[in-house]
Parts: sequence; C-alpha cells; structure tokens
Amino acid sequence: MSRAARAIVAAACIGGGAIVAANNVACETLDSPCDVAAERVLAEASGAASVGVFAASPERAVLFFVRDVPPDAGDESVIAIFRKIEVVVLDAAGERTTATESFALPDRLAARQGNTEAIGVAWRRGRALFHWVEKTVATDPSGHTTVTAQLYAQVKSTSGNQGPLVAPTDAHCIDCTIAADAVGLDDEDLVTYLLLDPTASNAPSVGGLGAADAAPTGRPGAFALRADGAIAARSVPLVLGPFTTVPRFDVVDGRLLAVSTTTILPVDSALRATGAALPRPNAEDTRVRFPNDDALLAWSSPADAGTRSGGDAVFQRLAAADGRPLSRIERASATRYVVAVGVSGERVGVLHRAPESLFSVATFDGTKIGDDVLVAAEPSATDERLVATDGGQFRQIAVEGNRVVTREIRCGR
Amino acid sequence: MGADSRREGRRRRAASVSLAFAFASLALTITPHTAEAEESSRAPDLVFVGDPNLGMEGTVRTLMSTGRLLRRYEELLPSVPGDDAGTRFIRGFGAGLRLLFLDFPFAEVETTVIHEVAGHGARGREFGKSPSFSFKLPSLYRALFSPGDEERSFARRRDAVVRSGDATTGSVLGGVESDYLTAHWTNLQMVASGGQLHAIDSLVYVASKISYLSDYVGTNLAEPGEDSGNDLTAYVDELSNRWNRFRPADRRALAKRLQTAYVWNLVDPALAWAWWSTFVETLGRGRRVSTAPLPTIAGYTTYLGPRFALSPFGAEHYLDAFASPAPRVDDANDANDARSSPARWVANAYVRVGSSGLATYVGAGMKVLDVPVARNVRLGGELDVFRQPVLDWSARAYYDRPDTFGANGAAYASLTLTRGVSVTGKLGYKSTGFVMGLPLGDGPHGYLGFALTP
Repeated sequence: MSRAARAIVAAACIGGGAIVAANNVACETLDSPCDVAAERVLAEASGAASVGVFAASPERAVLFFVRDVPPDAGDESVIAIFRKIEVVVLDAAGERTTATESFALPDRLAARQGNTEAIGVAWRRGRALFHWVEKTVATDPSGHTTVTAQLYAQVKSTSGNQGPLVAPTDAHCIDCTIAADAVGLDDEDLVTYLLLDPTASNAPSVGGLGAADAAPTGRPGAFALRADGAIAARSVPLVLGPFTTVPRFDVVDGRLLAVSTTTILPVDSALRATGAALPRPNAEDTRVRFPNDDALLAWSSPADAGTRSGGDAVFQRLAAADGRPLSRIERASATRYVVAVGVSGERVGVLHRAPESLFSVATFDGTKIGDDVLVAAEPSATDERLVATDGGQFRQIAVEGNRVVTREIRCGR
Repeated sequence: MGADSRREGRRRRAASVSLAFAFASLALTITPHTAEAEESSRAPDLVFVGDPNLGMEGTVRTLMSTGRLLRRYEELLPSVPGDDAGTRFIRGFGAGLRLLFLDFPFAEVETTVIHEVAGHGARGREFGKSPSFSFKLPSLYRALFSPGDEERSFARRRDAVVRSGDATTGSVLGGVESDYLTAHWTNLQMVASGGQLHAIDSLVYVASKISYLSDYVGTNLAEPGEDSGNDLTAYVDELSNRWNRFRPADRRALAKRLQTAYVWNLVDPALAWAWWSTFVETLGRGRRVSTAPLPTIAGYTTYLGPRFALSPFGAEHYLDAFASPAPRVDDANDANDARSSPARWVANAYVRVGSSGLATYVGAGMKVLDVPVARNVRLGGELDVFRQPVLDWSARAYYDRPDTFGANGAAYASLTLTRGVSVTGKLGYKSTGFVMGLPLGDGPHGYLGFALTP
C-alpha cells in the first residue's frame, strides 16, 4: 500500500476514533497471530472415571486406565477399581484412526488385592506389556518381618491372549522398593527397573543418568521382552550409569529417550546412547522436540525480575549430535509451566499454563509472533501434546478426564 | 536496663516533639513578612474540576489549586517590620524555620497526594479499580514522631494496581507521570504569570521533578525489584517484561539507558530557577514570590525548556516552547488588586521523541489556554499527534508490535459567572495511545468544574 493510501486509512481511523496499525493498515487493536477453534472430541473411554496418558511409543496413542469410580486416595487396592486398558490410536496429524484397542488386566494382576505397586503399561499396536511389583510380607518365628518385592511383567494381546509371566530373578529384593518403566518398540518391549534400598536413601541424589562419579544408591537393571512376551535371549547392557530414579522412557519424533530428572539421553533398544545427553534445565517441565537434526528444548524458567511472579517460557536449540547450543535461550512468554512444545516449519509453538492454558508462537531466533492465544480458560488436561500440521499450523491434543480432545490452532501471520 | 532504655527513648522522643512544636510555633510567629504579596499578583485561576474517573490532568490541576488555596494561611501570619540588623536576623531565622517546618512538609504532602491520587489513582480508576490511599506524616515530622518507622514509602494504596496488558505499565508509571505533569502545568502557569513563582510552587516543582532521583542515579535500578513499592524499579521490570528484554544483561542495558535519558530531566532551567528561588529568594531574601528571568520577545514572555516523561515505551524527551503576553507596566501598578489583572493567555508547543531503543515513539502538539474571546468567555484548545506502538489491555506477552498513528484534540472553555468565579471545563477526544496526563484508551475525555480568580 502506498504511503498516501496509508495516510488516508490512518486519517479515517483516527477520525473514527479507532487506532491504526500503519504497518498492517487495520483500524482494530492488535491482531492475534492465531485463533483457536472450538474443541473437538476425538475419542472417549468407557469408564467415566478413567485417567489417560500419552503412551511412550513410536505411534501416537493415549492409554486410558479404565475405572468406573474415581480412585479413593485411601484405598490401596487399586486393582479393584482399575479394570482394563483402552488405547486410542492417533495418526501423525493427531486425528483418530479407526483402531481402538482394549486390554484386560493379566489374570495375576487382576487377582491381586493390595500390596501391588509400580503398575505400568507399555503399548505397541496389538499388544500391551503390563508390569507391576508385588510385595509379600513374611514373619518368621522370632517375630521378625520381612517384605519381599518382585517385579513382574506380562504381555497381553487384544484378543485376550497373554504371554508368559516374567519375573526376572535380578528384579527381586528384600525390604526394598522397586521402581520400573517400560516402552513398547517395534519388535520387543524394554523394561528398566531400579532396586532401591530404603536404608541407603540418605545418600546424595545425583538425579541423573551418566553421573559416573556419583555413588549408586540403587541397583539398576533392564531386560527385553520379545513380541510374544518371552524374555529376550540377548542381554540389555544398560550403560546409562548409576542413578537414583528409574529413567522414564519417551519416544519423541522417532527417537527413544531415557529421561531422568536432569538429563535426556537418546538411546537404542539396547539402552546404548545414540546421541548427546541433553540437559533438563527444569526437572518439572522440560520438553524436547527434534526438528531436522537439532534438538529443541522448552521449559519454564523463574523470572529474573523479582517483582514478577511466575517465570518465563523459554526455549533453546541444541545440536542433537553433541548437545552444543545453537542459539541463545529465547523467551516465548511469561508463564508458570510449560506443557508441550511443537515445531512447524520455522515456527516454535509452546503450550503453557499461567494458569490458563495459553499458546505462544515464535521463530527459532526468538522473535515472538503476536500475543499469547488462550486455549482453555480453565484447563483440565492431565496430559497434552502439540502437533504440527501443514503450513505452520498446530493442533493441541489433550487428555481431559476420559476424553481425548483436540483444538486446532490456526496461525495466519 | 531495658526499661531504662525505653524510658530514655520516650524522653528523647518527647523532647523531639516539644522541640518540633516550638520551632513550628516560632516559625508561625516570627515569619518574615515584607511588603511583598504572599501570592503572585498575576497568579492563574484556582481550578477545581472533576470527571467521572477523576482523570489525571483534572485531578492534578485541582490538587495544585487546593495546595495554593490551603497555603493562604500564610496571609494571616504577622509581619516583622523594621530593617535593622536584629530584625533582619530574625527574618532570616524565621525564613529558615518556615522553610524547614512548613514549606518543605507542605510541598511534600502536596506532591505525594498528587503522585498517589492523581497518578496511580487516576490510572487505576481508568481501568475499573477503586483505589484508596493512606498517607504518612511528612518526612520531617515522621522522623520526629515516628523515628522507628523505617519504611521508605510516603503512602500506601489499595486496589490501585492494574494487571491488564499495557495498562499495568500505565498504572506503574502513573505516579511519576503525574509528578512530571505537575511540573509541566507549573511551567504553563509560570509563563502565564510572567515568570512569577510562589515559594511553595518552587518546592513542589523541585519535588515533582526529582521524584525518584535517588533511584535514577543509583546503581540498583537494574536489580530485580525486591521492593514492590518502588515505582521506578517496577517500571524497569514492566519494560523488560513487556519488550522481552528478559536477560539480566538486557535489563541492565535498559536501566542504563533510562538513567542516561534522565539527564534531560535535570538540565531544566526552571528546575535551576526553582532551586535558586528556594535558597536565595525565599531563604536569603525572604521573598514568597519570585520572578524568573524569562525572556521577553516582541511583547511576549517566552520560555524554551525540556520536559521529561516516562511512557509505556520508555523515556520520552520533550522540547517545550511557551509564550504569553508579557505583563504591562500598569499590571504591575495593579499588583495589589490582582482581580483587575486581565486574563492572560498562554501557548505551548512541543515535540517529543523516545530514547529507550525499544520502539519508535514520537509526537508533537500544542496547547493554548485562556484566550479571551468575549467579555466573559475564555477559550483554549490542544492538539497532539503521535506515532507509537499499539497499546492494548488484553494482549498477553505481545512483544513486537506494529506502530500506530494517533491523535488527541480538546477544547477548553471558561465562562465567568460573576466577579472572580467561572465555570470551566475541557472536552476532547483521543485515540488509544500515550499522551501525558490523558487517558490511555480512546474516547472522549475532559472535565468540568469552576475556577476562582485569586
């Protein structure tokens, strides 16, 4: 638009009592860079009190722990109120596929009434690996009580078939705690576990993977299960080093990650490092994506300005190969908690809560585009993902109660 | 031991209070009173105006006039006639006491009330708040009567802070903005009265101009604001947050730039004159009204001075030009009958430019006041045009904004009802944007009230 035309529009706007954004030649206040469409329900689990989480899997899926009544905080018999798993499978764009899978609990797990801990599920299409820890209390004639913990794992198929019950002898201890996590891969499932002796709990927490000079406070182990549920013959070397918490698995942009409180480590199915260990600046909410061959971290950082409450939603690009910073730490918004990050083309999208659910979009170099967009005024999601779609667009996928909902975030600028 | 200490403390405090009362009484009793008038013979009207939101400009003018009205107590003070050495000594001593115990506290109270009620309060009311305030004793009397009070603030406010986009910044800087607006209207009145400035107006001018001086020149401006009551630190916080300068180094650079820009506020001839007026004219010569040596060009009193302001985009530098018909000789002859002085119009034109480096923000404008157009009617007007980043109350974390053009236009009018009493008001319209003393949002603005010719 010519300078004269702009002047005419400006004059018209001023005359009308509006303001004019001369660069955009609009008489309104600021244009938001994006708008959020109304939520659309993708799927709904059968149990009204179900709780869902995204599965750690090469495919995008939501696991619902189907419950008919809400869990009672004082009720330890979790098995009695958690009766099956329902899996909603989504495609790469976040749309629901026709596949919805359901898995009953393994017979042994379903029969347990209390003294069952660390229940987890790893899913891969057509099968679900359940793992849990059983505790057995024994009292000898002298009155001394011992608590024996044993890790179990068992694969179930959608048809109801179940694989052999796996109880590794190494995953057994007395008067201790076992933590475990699992991930479903294409041909096999991986389980890591950590045997923690409560008497050693005062040892300093090193908190991360690969801290070679730190004294181990737990005895880690790992094993692999074949697709049929039998334990794999090959060993899993577990080169992750000593740690005090069992690493949590995640699969992001096709990369298997072992995530501790301070480190994100890309690994292969033998739990060998395949890339640089990436930092987790915030143990609570560091999110990672792998655009191209880079890594993009986003997290919430306490504000430097003392008069402001909360913190900043910041992000940084790193080289995935060696963890070298490729950019400065940039800020996308002021916030309290970063929920998810996504990358679409040259745009970085950050979902965060402050406490309402908000979406910010910026370029890689840290130029914020427009303002924050309200996604949900009173967010209730227990797990969320941000999916990039074509043309720099985004889609929020949220697990809210027993539903999976999506909200299109259309960015036009 | 502890009881003795407390008794000793009480004794000292009682002694301090007694001493303060004694000095204050002495100041009232032996105040120097020369033949010179206590109020400017060409003083502008006392203006008492209001609008539904008690906006900044109207409230500043009203509170300035209220201050001028309240200080009329000094006309009741006895004079000390004579010109011998002893009398001169008593006059000088009295002038010092009066300055210390009456003038300084008076100016401090007036400036603080303007800062809170017309500054933070006006911005709060503009955005739907219902602020209330409580004020402390002036510093001197607080030191005497509440020596244990270590809090720096002069006042407390409730429900005045706005948390809504750029309105937050407006709310934070509102107090300092009202201080600088007070200084600007003092300049207008000084030029309109041919350079005359009352002793307390000089002090109010100084206090308004050097508001937060210690923070401007201090080294802690870039530090995170632990003390949320410090407007300037909060302002730097708001700027750094609003413009995405979130790194400590960014914040330090921003603070440094603001401190450098602040020099513009201090290189002010009127400020220098106000200091001179206080310490030489008032304290040394015992004059309550001094006349600044403003240039007279072609029959007009003129003044060219800098103006400084904080805006939602950073520091602003104004260059103000003022003009008003110079007093005639027969006006001086009528000095003891101010009501016979003809109303004198005053004009002001300015240009402004921002220096924060955060955005481009420039503007210009002019104002003409009190032009007699008929026997009982005086009119005026103002026009401001500006280019600055878009202001918005709902946008969250919108850092890189487009610029906008905006404007403000308003008319002033005064209708004399009877001798010395007028109805006065202002009605204008502006687009969204920052113009010192005016609402941030768009729409009609103004005020209505009455004016008294002193």
